[in-house]
Amino acid sequence: MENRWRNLLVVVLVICAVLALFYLYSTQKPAFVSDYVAFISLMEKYGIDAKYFPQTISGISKLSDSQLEKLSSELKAFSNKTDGAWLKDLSLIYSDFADMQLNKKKLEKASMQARSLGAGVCDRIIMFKEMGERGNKIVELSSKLFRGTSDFISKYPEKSEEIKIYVVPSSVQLSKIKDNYKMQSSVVGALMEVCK
Amino acid sequence: MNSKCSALILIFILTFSALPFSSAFRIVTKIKPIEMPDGTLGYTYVKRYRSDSHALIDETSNNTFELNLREGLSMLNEDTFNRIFDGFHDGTYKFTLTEVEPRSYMLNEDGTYRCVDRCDERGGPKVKLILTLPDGRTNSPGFKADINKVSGDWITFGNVRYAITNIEVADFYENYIGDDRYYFPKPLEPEVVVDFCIVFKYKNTDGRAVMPPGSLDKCFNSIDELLAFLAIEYSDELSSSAGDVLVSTGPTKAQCEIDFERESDFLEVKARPKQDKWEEAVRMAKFNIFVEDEIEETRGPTLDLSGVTAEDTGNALFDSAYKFELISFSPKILTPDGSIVEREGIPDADIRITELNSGQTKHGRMDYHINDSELQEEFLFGGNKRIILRLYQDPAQIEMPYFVDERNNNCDSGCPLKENDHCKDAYVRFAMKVRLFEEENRYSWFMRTRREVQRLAQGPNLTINISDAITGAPLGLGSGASATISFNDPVTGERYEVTKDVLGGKVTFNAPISVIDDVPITVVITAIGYEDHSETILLDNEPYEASLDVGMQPVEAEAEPEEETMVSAKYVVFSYDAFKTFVDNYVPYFTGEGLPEVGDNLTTYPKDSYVAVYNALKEYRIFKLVDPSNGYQEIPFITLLQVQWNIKASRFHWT
Repeated sequence: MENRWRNLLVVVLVICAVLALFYLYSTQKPAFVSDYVAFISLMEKYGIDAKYFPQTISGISKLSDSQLEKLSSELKAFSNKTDGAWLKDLSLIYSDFADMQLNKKKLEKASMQARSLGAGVCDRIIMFKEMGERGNKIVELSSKLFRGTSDFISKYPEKSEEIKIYVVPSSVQLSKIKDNYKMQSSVVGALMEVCK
Repeated sequence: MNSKCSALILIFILTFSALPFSSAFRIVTKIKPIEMPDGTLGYTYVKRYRSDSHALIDETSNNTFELNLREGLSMLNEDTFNRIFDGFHDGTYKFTLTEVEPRSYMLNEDGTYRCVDRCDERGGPKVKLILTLPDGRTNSPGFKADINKVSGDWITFGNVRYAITNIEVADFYENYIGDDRYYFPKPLEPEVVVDFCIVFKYKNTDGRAVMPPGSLDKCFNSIDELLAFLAIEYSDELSSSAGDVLVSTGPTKAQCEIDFERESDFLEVKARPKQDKWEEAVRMAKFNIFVEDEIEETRGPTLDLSGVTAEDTGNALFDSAYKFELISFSPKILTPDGSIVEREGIPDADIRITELNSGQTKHGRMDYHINDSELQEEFLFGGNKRIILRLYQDPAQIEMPYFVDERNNNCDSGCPLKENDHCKDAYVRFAMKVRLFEEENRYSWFMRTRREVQRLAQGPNLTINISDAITGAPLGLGSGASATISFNDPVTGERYEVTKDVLGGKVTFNAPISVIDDVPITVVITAIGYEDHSETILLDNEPYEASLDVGMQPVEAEAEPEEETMVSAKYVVFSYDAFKTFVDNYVPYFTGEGLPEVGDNLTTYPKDSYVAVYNALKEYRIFKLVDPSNGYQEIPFITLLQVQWNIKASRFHWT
């Protein structure tokens, strides 16, 4: 009988220990650690060092269109999966960077084609339309990045200091982008009218 | 079908399906009919041997093309149009086609034809296309545009350049009605089609007025081509500014210091406000102006002008070096979304110039972001020592501190964000010009870099060697040769022009050289007995030496029924009978194809022989020498001989 009670006590203690361990495991491990590692790995996969944002974002220019599309969608998917709020926001910022680079490349491509084709201007209008659309996307993404990085710094000042994030684009850069888009869209719009 | 394949097919279709001149700048008109000897109407040109042989355009047909750029671009909003063209193209340009010089063929004895005029495939027909500017000015009617784009084929007038890109006109063939020789078009088609392209002066993305050089890259055949060019230009700018964001490196204090200490290649003054005054301005949100005693440090170039000499007299104009400093400035205020805050006071910068030899100082306050006339200031140091400074109007080139942080309206870093986006220190680029003529109140063009100023002080940087295209001999005083250079001021776009005599085949000028962009310089050479030579030279940042060959005016004869008709461009007058006698007696092998180029070199004859022959010919009224610019007064032979004989001698031959 005594053995029965002793055995029961051991079982209860073991169960308690397992429960305690499970509790400790599920509550004390930082939730973001595995996510952050996953995020870093994802970025490294594309040759981008996410620990020093955005100084090394220039590596993004080496990516092909398909890589940029993939990176952007993977970052968006990652932001849905992660529990860390700051990591979610950072993933979306990076995703916007990838989209911006993609649109910049597509704008350059359309511009080059519009320049080099021997056809009449109105026969090339599809290229100019493309240029207008890409320009519009760039302005939208620039404004979004400006808001995104500004909000990030406000919401996560310590994390911002740690990963050295700052407002991108700067007010002056944003002003220049908006100004150039204003001129571009006005001229492209006029061209659309001419070629109607 | 994948997208790459579709794009390739699209490009292929577009490339081969397009019409090259849709809605082009084009004149379609008719040649003027004339009455033929048999009373019929025909199309002809009669002055066979003259280089300006031409058929006239029927001015009752529509021989003009009118272009009002503002109306043509009415789909562009007013603000965009003004930002691009800045009032350069208000009003209507009127292009008028008055003459055409077609390709012509001569009848051989065996009944076949051979091409005699405008035969070169690359050359082809010529036309005279005259431009009337909105202000009523009309350009030189003597100019002809050629489809072959050599330098002289670009016509620059007012705020445009233009060039012919296509001429469609029938070839003309020699023909006879009785003994009378005429040229008829074949096919008998009176229609003339002329396409031309236009280069427009515009304001580039840096805010500078630019007149692109004569190049087909920026010469537009139609309004839609112009729009396409602008769309591409602004797209490239947009792409470039987006690229700046993607490679942004962030602020560093060290970079801030380096930029402030480093001397710029541009003419630039800098100033750093005192820290306590800066903090006070931030605390009080007081951003009106940092006055002189609120400035901690200032930086600026020292420019030695002591080598600058007058263009007209060669005398020294300056005797000192000058130090340039920024002593007060107004900051810019930006909102976080990047727009500039409109302020009540006029933002300005105050630049001080110190003459180092005398210690004399002058300073002047210039407004930025204000209309053109208030951007500049003249500084007088006595005599001809006069300097004009001018601020750039483009906001990107006036680098005042920005206050952008939305929480406290403060500059976040106090340091440059990148090279052109300084945050606390003021960086003001300026352009300068100096009085460059002693006798006239004329200044040089605006210079933008230290190197340009240094080069001006070192002396002429454009040397032009001019020689006879045939003999290679340098043109000198005897030929009355002069050279004119003209270009648009790199900052204001104003035209700058100076003419000098050519001595010993050489002439030198001061001209703008630039590390920023190439400046097109138009050079025109005129000399007695020579055709005017016009050429455009692009100057980069190095002194340039050009060698130009000028060709003689053609000496050509014509057979006119009138008693006395001028055939050479300037001096020789023949009567028809006299000419025939001259040909029969003295040039028996003359074939009628032009003046003979074979035979003895007449320069080996003693001058006395020429005088004797000339007198004999004159006595028998074979020819006389006249000056068309002076009522066709006869010119004494000896005077003419000195300047003209070499030209004639290589062309005439008699036995």
